[in-house]
Amino acid sequence: MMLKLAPPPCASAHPETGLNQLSVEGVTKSFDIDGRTVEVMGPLDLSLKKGEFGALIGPSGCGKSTLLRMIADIFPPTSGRITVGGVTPSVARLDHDIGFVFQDPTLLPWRSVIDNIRLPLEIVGKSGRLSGATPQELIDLVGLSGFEQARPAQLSGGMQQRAAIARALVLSPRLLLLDEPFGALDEIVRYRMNLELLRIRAEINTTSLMVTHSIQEAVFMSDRVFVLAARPGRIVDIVEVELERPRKLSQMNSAAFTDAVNRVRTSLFGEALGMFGDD
Amino acid sequence: MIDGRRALLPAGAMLAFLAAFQLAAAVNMLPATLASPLQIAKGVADSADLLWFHLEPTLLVAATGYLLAVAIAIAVGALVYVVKPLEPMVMTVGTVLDSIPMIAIAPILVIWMGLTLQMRLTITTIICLFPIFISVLQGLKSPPPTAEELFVSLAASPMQRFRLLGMPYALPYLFVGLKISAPLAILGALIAEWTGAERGLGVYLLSAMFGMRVVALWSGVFVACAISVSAYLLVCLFERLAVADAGHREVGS
Repeated sequence: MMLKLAPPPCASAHPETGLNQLSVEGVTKSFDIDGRTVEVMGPLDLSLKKGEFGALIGPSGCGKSTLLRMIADIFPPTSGRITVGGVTPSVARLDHDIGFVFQDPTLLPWRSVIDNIRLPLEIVGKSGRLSGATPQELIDLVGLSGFEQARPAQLSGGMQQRAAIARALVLSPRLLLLDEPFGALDEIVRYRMNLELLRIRAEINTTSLMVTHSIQEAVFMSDRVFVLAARPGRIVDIVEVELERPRKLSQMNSAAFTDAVNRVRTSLFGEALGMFGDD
Repeated sequence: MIDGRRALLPAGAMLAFLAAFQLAAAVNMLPATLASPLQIAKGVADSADLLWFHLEPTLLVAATGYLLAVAIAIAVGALVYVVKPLEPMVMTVGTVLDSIPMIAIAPILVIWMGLTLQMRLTITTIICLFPIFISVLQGLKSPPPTAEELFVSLAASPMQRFRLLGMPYALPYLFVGLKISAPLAILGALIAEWTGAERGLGVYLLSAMFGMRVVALWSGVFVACAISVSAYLLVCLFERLAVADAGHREVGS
């Protein structure tokens, strides 16, 4: 995995990206489908500062999940450069600096909740970092106290996703990637989980990037919303959300919230209807 | 283990069949080549020592060959799980190996290895191997794609991925193969003994056949069936312990 030609940029040598915990520059992705090369993404640029929460929103097929997987080094981009905490994604992954939360909680069904949260520690082994919160502290943090020994099948979807978030945080990653984490939940549970994630983030402040299909969720959760268009996937708008933290549901009635939602909506549907051109 | 009420009907049918068989014998309706249930029971009881003398090596070969097949299936399954490009090659070899009629290549193995324990183990292992291997391979493909991605993102080693993800997911599938192969192990041991051995249930059956000793032959057949069914039930018992404990109920076969 050390074949990448570009050396990891030194933070100070890159003043412009020096404070960025995540930097994506000119990234493209193409797949071979039946011998044809299909450009699915890019070139695409985005960056997140340390402690920032970004949301990716866009129509199906715009490559949101693909982008997240390239950042997590699950597969490489076709071209372009990604850095996480100043190093390549593969170095960051091998250092356990990236936490990933999938839409499906992806808990191992034969393990108890606490054993699922311990899984990354088991994989890292005894030599792994012990600086972060313990599994028990994380269970308390995500609100699963009393369910340590429960099997995933005994939990509701929302509770399973809480366990998945705790598991993603157990190695204290620099970057937390969330791929539509609440997409399978009903709206009531979803709002509650949004508030929960905001509360958890207020405690640990990990730089986070979340893919979502919900405009409200994107605006409510994040500092910046990256609006994507499809074929090829690219960013058509970046919306700064000027809402105070800690966020409260009541802020959803504020003008700032409504303005941001309207701007994201315009960027999304304007693009889909071809009313606003490509940029 | 078995729900009493559900077992009632099959058990009743079995008893009725045996009773009809015995009745037919009592009124002399059975041909001389068939033994009645009571004759078989008496035959088994009378020659229990001789049957055990012959059964012992058969059980040994069946059990050892079976365990060898399990070990090989899991080891090769792990290899294919870790090195995906190997799968077509391994599958081709496996399919060819499984398609060869064992009774046809047994003579080759006899000439190659002689009438030895190794030869009998080889035949038994080959017969048991494929069903177990196929089920392991199928099971190793059953983890959801996101679980595989999770292990990539956690930078797990290939062995960790196999041990913590692949094998636990494969467990219910593995038992399907183990149940198919349990009676096959007895079959393999018998076939191996038919090719020539000094002791073994297969030897006992052959000599009873050539001696036209009908009751002895039926006693041997009864014992062979009994150990086949017992082997199957034993695997079922292990399955209940392993899979139920592993929280796999929803995936179980």
